[in-house]
Amino acid sequence: MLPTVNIDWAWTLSRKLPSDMEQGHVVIEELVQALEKSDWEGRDLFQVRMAVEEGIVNSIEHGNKRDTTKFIQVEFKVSPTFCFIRITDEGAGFCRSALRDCTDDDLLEKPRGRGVHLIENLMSEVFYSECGNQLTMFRKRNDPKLAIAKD
Amino acid sequence: MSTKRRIVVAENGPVSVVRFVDKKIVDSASIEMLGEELNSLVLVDKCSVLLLNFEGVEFMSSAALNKLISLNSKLKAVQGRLKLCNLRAEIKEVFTITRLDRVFDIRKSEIDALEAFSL
Repeated sequence: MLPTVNIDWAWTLSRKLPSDMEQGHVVIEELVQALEKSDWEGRDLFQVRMAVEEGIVNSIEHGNKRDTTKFIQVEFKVSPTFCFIRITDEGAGFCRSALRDCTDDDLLEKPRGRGVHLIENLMSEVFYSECGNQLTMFRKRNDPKLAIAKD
Repeated sequence: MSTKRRIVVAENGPVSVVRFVDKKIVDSASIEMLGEELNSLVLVDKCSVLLLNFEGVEFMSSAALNKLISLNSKLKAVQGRLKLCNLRAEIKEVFTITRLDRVFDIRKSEIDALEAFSL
């Protein structure tokens, strides 16, 4: 369960966007600015940016299949310690369990699944809706669970 | 050498040292262009020893990683060699998380990478 109930959010955004990554980058920049205003920096800031970038790209490209008549809904919440992100598309949804691990030797150099793998390794909690067209993720700042990956 | 807009290439002996124009490699059109320019280094300009210097690159998406994988394949096909250097810690960690640090030879600095080429 996402611990969002008792958090005093410093900034929130809820917006419906066309299936256009340029519009996606506008809201990502707004999110980054809000995080910086709440003193997020360095690794935490980089990793949230990466997760939201990959999430929105997946929603537009794989969810809505770049159909310009379809939209995505984004919901962002930022506090000095937590960041909440929800991205919903109008696609048919995807089945997470059907997606193989992109770090398997035979898939290592294939293009699919790397975004999902990154999201799941950069955020504190990640959830998909039952029909697979909504991604909800939560990041705790300096989360000890997300230890620095060793060489 | 063919015209490049997303990269700057300098020759250091047999090594073509590539730097990136964009600090943030996220825009899909720019990533497509980047991929084409990297591939053309191998296919058109016949460069076979490449060093990608990431100095100044603050952020890149997984779509950009795919272009690096494609470049690596092109180089393997011509028995070429590829190294990466000067990755900021957060980007290096992305390579580790995705296990792409096993695919690419990542060196700390340009000097380290150039020395490794000559070994």
